[in-house]
Amino acid sequence: MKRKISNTLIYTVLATWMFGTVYPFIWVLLNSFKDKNSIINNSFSIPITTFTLDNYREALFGRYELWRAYINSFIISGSVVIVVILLAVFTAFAMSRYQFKGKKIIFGLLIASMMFPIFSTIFPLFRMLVRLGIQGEFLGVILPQIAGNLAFATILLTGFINSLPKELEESAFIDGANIFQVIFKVIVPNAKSAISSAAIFVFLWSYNDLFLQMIILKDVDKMPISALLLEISSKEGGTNYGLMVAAVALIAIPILVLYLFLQKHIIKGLLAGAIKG
Amino acid sequence: MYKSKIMPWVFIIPTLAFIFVFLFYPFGVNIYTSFFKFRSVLDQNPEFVGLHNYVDLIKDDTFVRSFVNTLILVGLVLVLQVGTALILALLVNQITKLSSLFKVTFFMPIVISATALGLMFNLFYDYDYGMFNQLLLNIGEEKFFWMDPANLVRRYLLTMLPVIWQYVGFYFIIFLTALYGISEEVLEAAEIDGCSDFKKAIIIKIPLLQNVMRTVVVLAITGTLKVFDLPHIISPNGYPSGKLHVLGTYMYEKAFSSNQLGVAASFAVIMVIAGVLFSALTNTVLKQNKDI
Repeated sequence: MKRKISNTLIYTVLATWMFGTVYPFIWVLLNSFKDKNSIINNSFSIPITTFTLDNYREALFGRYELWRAYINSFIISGSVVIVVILLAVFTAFAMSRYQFKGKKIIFGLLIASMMFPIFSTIFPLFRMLVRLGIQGEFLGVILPQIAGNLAFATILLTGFINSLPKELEESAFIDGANIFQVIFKVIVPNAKSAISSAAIFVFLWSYNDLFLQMIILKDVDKMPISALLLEISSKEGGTNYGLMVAAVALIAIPILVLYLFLQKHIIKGLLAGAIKG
Repeated sequence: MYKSKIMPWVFIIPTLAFIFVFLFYPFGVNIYTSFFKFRSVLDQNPEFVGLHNYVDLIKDDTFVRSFVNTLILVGLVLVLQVGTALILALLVNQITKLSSLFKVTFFMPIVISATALGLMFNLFYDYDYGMFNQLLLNIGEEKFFWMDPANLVRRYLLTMLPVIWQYVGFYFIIFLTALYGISEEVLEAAEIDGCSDFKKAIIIKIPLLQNVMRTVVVLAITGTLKVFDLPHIISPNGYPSGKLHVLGTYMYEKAFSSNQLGVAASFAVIMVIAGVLFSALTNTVLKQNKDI
Protein backbone atom coordinates (compact mmCIF):
# COMPACT_ATOMS: atom_id res chain seq x y z
CA MET A 1 0.00 0.00 0.00
CA LYS A 2 2.69 2.43 1.04
CA ARG A 3 4.66 1.40 -2.02
CA LYS A 4 1.68 2.18 -4.23
CA ILE A 5 1.26 5.68 -2.85
CA SER A 6 4.90 6.54 -3.26
CA ASN A 7 4.89 5.14 -6.80
CA THR A 8 1.89 7.29 -7.68
CA LEU A 9 3.70 10.30 -6.28
CA ILE A 10 6.83 9.51 -8.31
CA TYR A 11 4.88 9.13 -11.53
CA THR A 12 3.01 12.36 -10.83
CA VAL A 13 6.23 14.31 -10.38
CA LEU A 14 7.80 12.79 -13.49
CA ALA A 15 4.67 13.33 -15.57
CA THR A 16 4.57 16.96 -14.46
CA TRP A 17 8.12 17.58 -15.62
CA MET A 18 7.39 15.76 -18.86
CA PHE A 19 4.43 18.04 -19.41
CA GLY A 20 6.72 21.00 -18.78
CA THR A 21 9.19 19.87 -21.43
CA VAL A 22 6.72 18.70 -24.07
CA TYR A 23 3.77 21.05 -23.80
CA PRO A 24 5.63 24.20 -24.92
CA PHE A 25 6.42 22.51 -28.23
CA ILE A 26 2.88 21.21 -28.61
CA TRP A 27 1.57 24.71 -27.94
CA VAL A 28 3.82 26.15 -30.65
CA LEU A 29 2.85 23.42 -33.10
CA LEU A 30 -0.90 23.78 -32.51
CA ASN A 31 -0.79 27.54 -32.82
CA SER A 32 1.24 27.43 -35.99
CA PHE A 33 -1.86 26.03 -37.69
CA LYS A 34 -4.19 28.80 -36.52
CA ASP A 35 -4.89 32.25 -37.90
CA LYS A 36 -3.69 35.24 -35.95
CA ASN A 37 -7.04 35.90 -34.28
CA SER A 38 -7.41 32.51 -32.73
CA ILE A 39 -3.79 32.58 -31.56
CA ILE A 40 -4.30 35.80 -29.67
CA ASN A 41 -7.79 34.95 -28.42
CA ASN A 42 -7.49 31.32 -27.50
CA SER A 43 -4.03 29.86 -27.86
CA PHE A 44 -5.05 26.70 -25.99
CA SER A 45 -7.67 25.56 -28.47
CA ILE A 46 -7.04 22.74 -30.91
CA PRO A 47 -7.11 23.98 -34.51
CA ILE A 48 -9.93 21.95 -36.02
CA THR A 49 -12.33 24.52 -37.42
CA THR A 50 -9.66 27.18 -37.63
CA PHE A 51 -7.00 25.03 -39.32
CA THR A 52 -4.83 26.96 -41.75
CA LEU A 53 -1.45 26.69 -43.40
CA ASP A 54 -1.22 30.44 -44.01
CA ASN A 55 1.42 30.98 -41.31
CA TYR A 56 3.70 28.44 -42.93
CA ARG A 57 3.02 29.89 -46.35
CA GLU A 58 3.89 33.36 -45.10
CA ALA A 59 7.00 32.16 -43.26
CA LEU A 60 8.37 30.01 -46.04
CA PHE A 61 7.44 32.00 -49.13
CA GLY A 62 6.50 35.44 -47.82
CA ARG A 63 8.78 38.43 -47.37
CA TYR A 64 11.44 36.53 -45.44
CA GLU A 65 11.56 33.40 -47.59
CA LEU A 66 12.51 30.97 -44.86
CA TRP A 67 12.80 28.20 -47.47
CA ARG A 68 15.97 29.90 -48.59
CA ALA A 69 17.29 29.91 -45.01
CA TYR A 70 16.59 26.18 -44.87
CA ILE A 71 18.69 25.64 -47.97
CA ASN A 72 21.42 27.88 -46.55
CA SER A 73 21.37 25.94 -43.29
CA PHE A 74 21.60 22.62 -45.07
CA ILE A 75 24.41 23.80 -47.35
CA ILE A 76 26.39 25.07 -44.35
CA SER A 77 25.71 22.24 -41.93
CA GLY A 78 25.85 19.59 -44.65
CA SER A 79 29.29 20.73 -45.81
CA VAL A 80 30.52 20.91 -42.23
CA VAL A 81 29.35 17.36 -41.53
CA ILE A 82 30.86 15.92 -44.71
CA VAL A 83 34.28 17.52 -44.30
CA VAL A 84 34.45 16.84 -40.56
CA ILE A 85 33.56 13.18 -40.96
CA LEU A 86 35.95 12.66 -43.87
CA LEU A 87 38.92 14.28 -42.12
CA ALA A 88 38.04 12.71 -38.78
CA VAL A 89 37.90 9.22 -40.31
CA PHE A 90 41.38 9.73 -41.83
CA THR A 91 42.83 11.15 -38.62
CA ALA A 92 41.18 8.59 -36.38
CA PHE A 93 42.40 5.80 -38.65
CA ALA A 94 45.98 7.08 -38.47
CA MET A 95 45.80 7.63 -34.70
CA SER A 96 44.42 4.17 -34.14
CA ARG A 97 46.49 2.07 -36.55
CA TYR A 98 49.94 3.68 -36.87
CA GLN A 99 52.67 4.04 -34.29
CA PHE A 100 54.56 7.29 -34.78
CA LYS A 101 56.41 9.94 -32.85
CA GLY A 102 54.29 12.77 -31.54
CA LYS A 103 51.08 10.78 -31.37
CA LYS A 104 50.57 11.66 -27.71
CA ILE A 105 51.17 15.34 -28.41
CA ILE A 106 48.61 15.30 -31.20
CA PHE A 107 46.09 13.68 -28.95
CA GLY A 108 46.73 16.38 -26.37
CA LEU A 109 46.30 19.10 -29.00
CA LEU A 110 43.00 17.59 -30.07
CA ILE A 111 41.72 17.53 -26.49
CA ALA A 112 42.91 21.10 -25.90
CA SER A 113 41.19 22.33 -29.05
CA MET A 114 37.84 21.20 -27.66
CA MET A 115 38.19 23.59 -24.75
CA PHE A 116 38.22 26.86 -26.68
CA PRO A 117 34.96 28.71 -26.37
CA ILE A 118 34.05 30.54 -29.58
CA PHE A 119 34.36 33.85 -27.66
CA SER A 120 38.07 33.40 -27.26
CA THR A 121 38.72 33.15 -30.99
CA ILE A 122 35.98 35.19 -32.61
CA PHE A 123 37.72 38.58 -33.03
CA PRO A 124 40.92 37.39 -34.68
CA LEU A 125 38.81 34.94 -36.65
CA PHE A 126 36.60 37.74 -37.89
CA ARG A 127 39.56 39.77 -39.09
CA MET A 128 41.13 36.72 -40.67
CA LEU A 129 37.93 36.02 -42.60
CA VAL A 130 37.83 39.62 -43.78
CA ARG A 131 41.40 39.33 -45.06
CA LEU A 132 40.61 36.03 -46.77
CA GLY A 133 37.60 37.70 -48.39
CA ILE A 134 35.14 35.16 -47.05
CA GLN A 135 33.60 37.23 -44.28
CA GLY A 136 29.87 37.27 -45.05
CA GLU A 137 30.13 34.11 -47.15
CA PHE A 138 29.08 30.54 -46.32
CA LEU A 139 32.73 29.53 -46.22
CA GLY A 140 33.31 32.03 -43.44
CA VAL A 141 31.00 29.97 -41.23
CA ILE A 142 31.83 26.54 -42.66
CA LEU A 143 35.60 26.63 -42.12
CA PRO A 144 35.57 27.67 -38.44
CA GLN A 145 32.75 25.22 -37.72
CA ILE A 146 34.77 22.40 -39.28
CA ALA A 147 37.71 23.28 -37.05
CA GLY A 148 35.43 23.50 -34.01
CA ASN A 149 33.97 20.02 -34.52
CA LEU A 150 36.97 18.07 -35.81
CA ALA A 151 38.52 17.20 -32.49
CA PHE A 152 35.31 15.85 -31.04
CA ALA A 153 34.58 13.66 -34.08
CA THR A 154 38.19 12.46 -34.27
CA ILE A 155 38.33 11.43 -30.63
CA LEU A 156 34.98 9.67 -30.80
CA LEU A 157 36.02 7.75 -33.93
CA THR A 158 39.52 6.94 -32.67
CA GLY A 159 38.00 5.24 -29.66
CA PHE A 160 35.73 3.24 -31.90
CA ILE A 161 38.32 2.22 -34.50
CA ASN A 162 40.63 1.12 -31.67
CA SER A 163 37.98 -1.41 -30.74
CA LEU A 164 37.88 -2.87 -34.27
CA PRO A 165 40.23 -5.87 -34.66
CA LYS A 166 43.09 -5.39 -37.14
CA GLU A 167 42.32 -8.77 -38.71
CA LEU A 168 39.42 -7.02 -40.41
CA GLU A 169 41.79 -5.20 -42.75
CA GLU A 170 44.41 -7.92 -43.07
CA SER A 171 42.64 -9.99 -45.70
CA ALA A 172 41.79 -6.87 -47.68
CA PHE A 173 45.50 -5.93 -47.75
CA ILE A 174 46.45 -9.46 -48.76
CA ASP A 175 43.95 -9.24 -51.62
CA GLY A 176 45.93 -6.22 -52.79
CA ALA A 177 43.67 -3.40 -51.66
CA ASN A 178 45.34 -0.01 -51.21
CA ILE A 179 45.01 2.01 -48.05
CA PHE A 180 42.10 4.13 -49.25
CA GLN A 181 40.16 1.04 -50.30
CA VAL A 182 40.75 -0.38 -46.86
CA ILE A 183 39.47 2.78 -45.20
CA PHE A 184 36.35 3.13 -47.32
CA LYS A 185 35.48 -0.54 -47.85
CA VAL A 186 36.48 -2.00 -44.48
CA ILE A 187 36.83 0.63 -41.76
CA VAL A 188 33.95 2.92 -42.69
CA PRO A 189 31.28 0.19 -43.02
CA ASN A 190 32.36 -1.28 -39.69
CA ALA A 191 32.39 2.06 -37.91
CA LYS A 192 28.98 3.08 -39.23
CA SER A 193 27.32 3.48 -35.83
CA ALA A 194 30.08 5.69 -34.41
CA ILE A 195 30.20 7.71 -37.62
CA SER A 196 26.47 8.36 -37.51
CA SER A 197 26.67 9.40 -33.85
CA ALA A 198 29.41 11.87 -34.70
CA ALA A 199 27.64 13.10 -37.84
CA ILE A 200 24.33 13.77 -36.09
CA PHE A 201 26.03 15.58 -33.28
CA VAL A 202 28.09 17.76 -35.63
CA PHE A 203 24.97 18.53 -37.64
CA LEU A 204 22.98 19.54 -34.56
CA TRP A 205 25.74 21.70 -33.26
CA SER A 206 26.17 23.47 -36.57
CA TYR A 207 22.46 23.86 -37.31
CA ASN A 208 21.68 25.28 -33.86
CA ASP A 209 24.63 27.66 -33.70
CA LEU A 210 23.67 31.31 -33.54
CA PHE A 211 26.70 33.26 -32.38
CA LEU A 212 29.08 32.58 -35.24
CA GLN A 213 26.41 32.65 -37.93
CA MET A 214 24.96 35.91 -36.80
CA ILE A 215 28.36 37.59 -36.67
CA ILE A 216 29.63 36.33 -40.01
CA LEU A 217 26.49 36.31 -42.16
CA LYS A 218 24.87 39.73 -42.23
CA ASP A 219 23.21 39.42 -45.62
CA VAL A 220 19.58 38.28 -45.21
CA ASP A 221 19.77 36.13 -48.36
CA LYS A 222 22.65 34.15 -46.94
CA MET A 223 21.36 33.72 -43.40
CA PRO A 224 20.81 30.21 -42.13
CA ILE A 225 17.65 29.52 -40.22
CA SER A 226 18.69 30.56 -36.68
CA ALA A 227 20.06 33.92 -37.76
CA LEU A 228 17.08 34.68 -40.00
CA LEU A 229 14.66 33.73 -37.25
CA LEU A 230 16.27 36.27 -34.95
CA GLU A 231 16.12 38.85 -37.73
CA ILE A 232 12.40 38.21 -38.25
CA SER A 233 11.72 38.42 -34.55
CA SER A 234 13.52 41.73 -34.18
CA LYS A 235 11.30 43.17 -36.93
CA GLU A 236 7.97 41.44 -36.34
CA GLY A 237 8.28 39.73 -32.97
CA GLY A 238 5.76 41.84 -31.12
CA THR A 239 3.04 41.90 -33.76
CA ASN A 240 2.93 39.00 -36.17
CA TYR A 241 2.15 36.06 -33.91
CA GLY A 242 1.21 33.67 -36.71
CA LEU A 243 4.49 34.21 -38.50
CA MET A 244 6.47 33.87 -35.26
CA VAL A 245 4.95 30.54 -34.18
CA ALA A 246 5.32 29.10 -37.67
CA ALA A 247 8.95 30.24 -37.81
CA VAL A 248 9.73 28.72 -34.42
CA ALA A 249 8.01 25.50 -35.48
CA LEU A 250 9.94 25.45 -38.74
CA ILE A 251 13.32 25.64 -37.06
CA ALA A 252 12.39 22.99 -34.49
CA ILE A 253 10.48 20.44 -36.60
CA PRO A 254 13.38 18.96 -38.62
CA ILE A 255 15.40 18.57 -35.44
CA LEU A 256 12.52 17.04 -33.48
CA VAL A 257 11.90 14.53 -36.28
CA LEU A 258 15.60 13.72 -36.42
CA TYR A 259 15.63 13.39 -32.64
CA LEU A 260 12.65 11.05 -32.42
CA PHE A 261 14.18 8.69 -34.98
CA LEU A 262 17.76 8.82 -33.79
CA GLN A 263 17.49 9.66 -30.09
CA LYS A 264 19.84 6.89 -28.98
CA HIS A 265 22.64 8.14 -31.22
CA ILE A 266 21.97 11.74 -30.27
CA ILE A 267 21.99 11.19 -26.51
CA LYS A 268 25.19 9.14 -26.79
CA GLY A 269 26.88 11.73 -29.02
CA LEU A 270 25.95 14.69 -26.85
CA LEU A 271 27.22 12.97 -23.75
CA ALA A 272 30.49 12.25 -25.51
CA GLY A 273 30.69 15.86 -26.67
CA ALA A 274 29.96 17.26 -23.25
CA ILE A 275 33.44 18.62 -22.67
CA LYS A 276 33.45 20.49 -25.95
CA GLY A 277 33.94 24.30 -25.79
CA MET B 1 50.85 -3.71 -42.27
CA TYR B 2 51.09 -0.17 -40.89
CA LYS B 3 54.81 0.52 -41.13
CA SER B 4 54.83 3.76 -43.09
CA LYS B 5 56.16 6.81 -41.23
CA ILE B 6 54.69 9.22 -43.77
CA MET B 7 51.14 7.96 -44.25
CA PRO B 8 49.87 8.83 -40.75
CA TRP B 9 50.97 12.43 -41.27
CA VAL B 10 49.24 12.57 -44.64
CA PHE B 11 46.04 11.64 -42.83
CA ILE B 12 46.55 13.90 -39.84
CA ILE B 13 47.90 17.09 -41.35
CA PRO B 14 44.60 18.40 -42.81
CA THR B 15 42.96 18.08 -39.40
CA LEU B 16 45.89 19.74 -37.66
CA ALA B 17 45.89 22.53 -40.22
CA PHE B 18 42.22 23.30 -39.56
CA ILE B 19 42.70 23.30 -35.82
CA PHE B 20 45.80 25.50 -35.95
CA VAL B 21 44.46 28.03 -38.42
CA PHE B 22 40.96 28.43 -36.97
CA LEU B 23 41.47 27.71 -33.26
CA PHE B 24 45.01 27.90 -31.89
CA TYR B 25 46.16 30.80 -34.02
CA PRO B 26 43.14 33.05 -33.33
CA PHE B 27 43.27 32.09 -29.66
CA GLY B 28 46.87 33.28 -29.49
CA VAL B 29 46.14 36.43 -31.47
CA ASN B 30 43.25 37.16 -29.13
CA ILE B 31 45.53 37.19 -26.12
CA TYR B 32 47.97 39.45 -28.00
CA THR B 33 45.12 41.73 -29.13
CA SER B 34 43.95 42.19 -25.58
CA PHE B 35 47.01 44.41 -24.93
CA PHE B 36 46.19 46.86 -27.72
CA LYS B 37 43.76 49.67 -28.33
CA PHE B 38 41.90 49.51 -31.65
CA ARG B 39 40.12 52.43 -33.26
CA SER B 40 38.20 50.23 -35.70
CA VAL B 41 37.73 46.53 -36.37
CA LEU B 42 40.36 46.59 -39.11
CA ASP B 43 42.69 49.16 -37.49
CA GLN B 44 46.14 48.53 -38.99
CA ASN B 45 48.13 50.33 -36.30
CA PRO B 46 46.63 49.55 -32.94
CA GLU B 47 48.32 51.19 -29.99
CA PHE B 48 49.96 49.07 -27.29
CA VAL B 49 48.32 49.80 -23.96
CA GLY B 50 49.51 46.95 -21.74
CA LEU B 51 46.93 45.90 -19.20
CA HIS B 52 44.88 49.02 -19.74
CA ASN B 53 41.98 47.13 -21.37
CA TYR B 54 41.75 44.83 -18.38
CA VAL B 55 41.76 47.74 -15.95
CA ASP B 56 39.11 49.52 -18.03
CA LEU B 57 36.90 46.49 -17.93
CA ILE B 58 37.18 45.96 -14.21
CA LYS B 59 36.28 49.62 -13.66
CA ASP B 60 33.27 49.29 -15.97
CA ASP B 61 30.04 49.03 -13.95
CA THR B 62 28.20 47.09 -16.62
CA PHE B 63 31.03 44.56 -16.77
CA VAL B 64 30.88 44.07 -13.03
CA ARG B 65 27.13 43.74 -13.27
CA SER B 66 27.34 41.20 -16.10
CA PHE B 67 29.87 39.26 -14.05
CA VAL B 68 27.62 39.27 -10.98
CA ASN B 69 24.59 38.34 -13.11
CA THR B 70 26.55 35.40 -14.49
CA LEU B 71 27.69 34.30 -11.02
CA ILE B 72 24.10 34.38 -9.76
CA LEU B 73 23.13 32.34 -12.79
CA VAL B 74 25.84 29.82 -11.95
CA GLY B 75 24.32 29.52 -8.47
CA LEU B 76 20.81 29.10 -9.85
CA VAL B 77 21.99 26.54 -12.36
CA LEU B 78 23.78 24.50 -9.70
CA VAL B 79 20.85 24.53 -7.30
CA LEU B 80 17.83 24.44 -9.60
CA GLN B 81 19.10 22.78 -12.76
CA VAL B 82 21.51 20.23 -11.33
CA GLY B 83 19.24 19.74 -8.29
CA THR B 84 16.15 19.07 -10.40
CA ALA B 85 18.16 16.76 -12.65
CA LEU B 86 19.37 14.79 -9.63
CA ILE B 87 15.90 14.44 -8.14
CA LEU B 88 14.39 13.39 -11.47
CA ALA B 89 17.17 10.84 -12.02
CA LEU B 90 16.67 9.34 -8.55
CA LEU B 91 12.94 9.10 -9.21
CA VAL B 92 13.31 7.49 -12.64
CA ASN B 93 15.83 5.10 -11.08
CA GLN B 94 13.03 3.96 -8.72
CA ILE B 95 10.49 3.04 -11.37
CA THR B 96 10.30 0.21 -13.85
CA LYS B 97 7.73 1.36 -16.39
CA LEU B 98 7.91 4.31 -18.81
CA SER B 99 11.49 5.21 -17.93
CA SER B 100 12.53 5.45 -21.58
CA LEU B 101 9.60 7.76 -22.31
CA PHE B 102 10.79 10.07 -19.55
CA LYS B 103 14.33 9.91 -20.85
CA VAL B 104 13.34 10.87 -24.39
CA THR B 105 11.05 13.71 -23.34
CA PHE B 106 13.29 15.18 -20.63
CA PHE B 107 16.20 15.35 -23.05
CA MET B 108 14.19 16.86 -25.88
CA PRO B 109 14.69 20.62 -25.22
CA ILE B 110 18.45 20.17 -25.54
CA VAL B 111 18.36 19.39 -29.24
CA ILE B 112 16.31 22.48 -30.07
CA SER B 113 18.24 25.63 -30.89
CA ALA B 114 18.34 28.22 -28.16
CA THR B 115 17.18 30.75 -30.75
CA ALA B 116 13.88 28.92 -31.20
CA LEU B 117 13.52 28.45 -27.44
CA GLY B 118 14.16 32.13 -26.77
CA LEU B 119 11.52 33.22 -29.25
CA MET B 120 9.15 30.63 -27.85
CA PHE B 121 9.53 31.98 -24.32
CA ASN B 122 9.02 35.49 -25.67
CA LEU B 123 5.66 34.28 -26.97
CA PHE B 124 4.85 32.93 -23.50
CA TYR B 125 5.80 36.12 -21.65
CA ASP B 126 4.24 38.59 -24.08
CA TYR B 127 1.94 41.06 -22.31
CA ASP B 128 -0.77 41.50 -24.93
CA TYR B 129 -1.41 37.96 -26.10
CA GLY B 130 1.23 35.78 -24.50
CA MET B 131 0.45 32.27 -23.32
CA PHE B 132 0.82 33.06 -19.63
CA ASN B 133 -1.54 36.01 -19.77
CA GLN B 134 -4.09 34.06 -21.78
CA LEU B 135 -3.96 31.45 -19.07
CA LEU B 136 -4.57 34.14 -16.44
CA LEU B 137 -7.51 35.56 -18.43
CA ASN B 138 -8.96 32.05 -18.81
CA ILE B 139 -9.07 31.56 -15.06
CA GLY B 140 -10.57 35.00 -14.57
CA GLU B 141 -7.47 36.88 -13.46
CA GLU B 142 -6.07 40.14 -14.78
CA LYS B 143 -3.19 40.32 -17.21
CA PHE B 144 0.21 40.56 -15.63
CA PHE B 145 3.27 42.48 -16.88
CA TRP B 146 5.71 39.55 -16.62
CA MET B 147 8.71 41.24 -18.16
CA ASP B 148 8.28 44.59 -16.41
CA PRO B 149 11.75 46.19 -16.66
CA ALA B 150 11.07 48.03 -13.40
CA ASN B 151 11.12 44.71 -11.57
CA LEU B 152 14.67 43.66 -12.32
CA VAL B 153 14.71 40.55 -10.18
CA ARG B 154 11.65 39.07 -11.82
CA ARG B 155 12.79 39.96 -15.31
CA TYR B 156 16.18 38.42 -14.59
CA LEU B 157 14.62 35.21 -13.32
CA LEU B 158 12.26 34.94 -16.29
CA THR B 159 15.13 35.58 -18.71
CA MET B 160 17.14 32.80 -17.11
CA LEU B 161 14.25 30.37 -16.69
CA PRO B 162 14.66 28.79 -20.16
CA VAL B 163 18.45 28.61 -19.67
CA ILE B 164 17.86 26.52 -16.56
CA TRP B 165 14.92 24.55 -17.98
CA GLN B 166 16.64 23.56 -21.23
CA TYR B 167 19.57 21.60 -19.79
CA VAL B 168 17.92 19.78 -16.87
CA GLY B 169 17.51 16.74 -19.14
CA PHE B 170 21.20 16.69 -19.98
CA TYR B 171 22.40 16.32 -16.40
CA PHE B 172 19.44 14.05 -15.72
CA ILE B 173 20.78 11.59 -18.31
CA ILE B 174 24.31 11.79 -16.88
CA PHE B 175 23.05 11.10 -13.35
CA LEU B 176 20.72 8.35 -14.50
CA THR B 177 23.46 6.56 -16.42
CA ALA B 178 25.61 6.66 -13.28
CA LEU B 179 22.76 5.44 -11.09
CA TYR B 180 22.18 2.45 -13.33
CA GLY B 181 25.85 1.64 -12.78
CA ILE B 182 25.54 1.28 -9.00
CA SER B 183 25.90 -2.37 -8.09
CA GLU B 184 22.76 -4.26 -7.11
CA GLU B 185 24.58 -5.95 -4.25
CA VAL B 186 25.10 -2.75 -2.29
CA LEU B 187 21.47 -1.79 -2.67
CA GLU B 188 20.21 -5.26 -1.75
CA ALA B 189 22.36 -5.30 1.36
CA ALA B 190 20.85 -1.98 2.40
CA GLU B 191 17.37 -3.31 1.78
CA ILE B 192 18.00 -6.33 4.00
CA ASP B 193 19.14 -3.90 6.71
CA GLY B 194 15.73 -2.27 6.43
CA CYS B 195 16.70 0.85 4.53
CA SER B 196 13.79 2.76 2.99
CA ASP B 197 14.02 3.95 -0.63
CA PHE B 198 14.46 7.51 0.54
CA LYS B 199 17.23 6.60 2.96
CA LYS B 200 18.92 4.50 0.29
CA ALA B 201 18.99 7.51 -2.03
CA ILE B 202 20.43 9.80 0.64
CA ILE B 203 23.04 7.58 2.24
CA ILE B 204 24.05 5.29 -0.64
CA LYS B 205 23.20 6.62 -4.06
CA ILE B 206 24.04 10.31 -3.71
CA PRO B 207 27.46 9.70 -2.10
CA LEU B 208 28.26 7.21 -4.88
CA LEU B 209 27.54 9.94 -7.41
CA GLN B 210 30.40 12.09 -6.10
CA ASN B 211 32.68 11.70 -9.11
CA VAL B 212 29.87 12.22 -11.59
CA MET B 213 28.73 15.23 -9.58
CA ARG B 214 32.17 16.72 -10.00
CA THR B 215 32.00 16.39 -13.80
CA VAL B 216 28.48 17.77 -13.82
CA VAL B 217 29.40 20.79 -11.70
CA VAL B 218 32.36 21.62 -13.94
CA LEU B 219 30.21 21.27 -17.06
CA ALA B 220 27.42 23.35 -15.55
CA ILE B 221 29.78 26.16 -14.52
CA THR B 222 31.81 26.35 -17.73
CA GLY B 223 28.60 26.05 -19.77
CA THR B 224 26.94 28.86 -17.81
CA LEU B 225 29.91 31.22 -18.25
CA LYS B 226 29.34 30.91 -22.02
CA VAL B 227 25.59 31.51 -22.04
CA PHE B 228 24.68 33.86 -24.84
CA ASP B 229 21.73 32.99 -27.10
CA LEU B 230 18.81 32.97 -24.67
CA PRO B 231 19.57 36.18 -22.74
CA HIS B 232 20.49 37.86 -26.04
CA ILE B 233 17.05 37.06 -27.43
CA ILE B 234 14.88 37.55 -24.33
CA SER B 235 16.52 40.67 -22.88
CA PRO B 236 18.50 42.10 -25.84
CA ASN B 237 21.51 44.28 -24.98
CA GLY B 238 20.95 43.53 -21.32
CA TYR B 239 17.65 45.42 -21.43
CA PRO B 240 16.87 47.54 -19.43
CA SER B 241 19.98 49.70 -19.96
CA GLY B 242 22.50 46.87 -19.72
CA LYS B 243 21.35 45.80 -16.28
CA LEU B 244 20.55 42.24 -17.37
CA HIS B 245 23.73 41.57 -19.31
CA VAL B 246 25.59 38.34 -18.77
CA LEU B 247 29.26 37.94 -19.74
CA GLY B 248 28.51 36.56 -23.20
CA THR B 249 26.01 39.21 -24.22
CA TYR B 250 28.04 42.12 -22.88
CA MET B 251 31.16 40.94 -24.63
CA TYR B 252 29.22 40.74 -27.87
CA GLU B 253 27.89 44.26 -27.39
CA LYS B 254 31.35 45.61 -26.56
CA ALA B 255 32.90 44.14 -29.66
CA PHE B 256 30.27 44.58 -32.30
CA SER B 257 28.41 47.70 -31.40
CA SER B 258 30.95 49.84 -29.63
CA ASN B 259 33.98 48.76 -31.66
CA GLN B 260 36.26 48.24 -28.71
CA LEU B 261 38.08 45.26 -30.05
CA GLY B 262 40.96 45.30 -27.58
CA VAL B 263 38.61 45.53 -24.63
CA ALA B 264 36.48 42.71 -26.04
CA ALA B 265 39.60 40.58 -26.50
CA SER B 266 40.60 41.07 -22.88
CA PHE B 267 36.99 40.29 -21.99
CA ALA B 268 37.34 36.93 -23.77
CA VAL B 269 40.61 36.24 -21.96
CA ILE B 270 38.95 36.97 -18.61
CA MET B 271 36.13 34.56 -19.49
CA VAL B 272 38.58 31.78 -20.30
CA ILE B 273 40.54 32.44 -17.10
CA ALA B 274 37.30 32.43 -15.09
CA GLY B 275 36.35 29.10 -16.65
CA VAL B 276 39.71 27.54 -15.82
CA LEU B 277 39.68 28.94 -12.25
CA PHE B 278 36.15 27.72 -11.57
CA SER B 279 36.95 24.25 -12.89
CA ALA B 280 40.09 24.09 -10.75
CA LEU B 281 38.13 25.30 -7.72
CA THR B 282 35.44 22.68 -8.25
CA ASN B 283 38.03 19.97 -8.60
CA THR B 284 39.62 20.99 -5.31
CA VAL B 285 36.36 21.31 -3.41
CA LEU B 286 34.82 18.15 -4.79
CA LYS B 287 37.77 15.79 -4.60
CA GLN B 288 37.85 12.78 -6.83
CA ASN B 289 37.03 9.70 -4.82
CA LYS B 290 39.11 6.85 -6.21
CA ASP B 291 37.28 4.26 -4.11
CA ILE B 292 34.08 4.47 -6.16
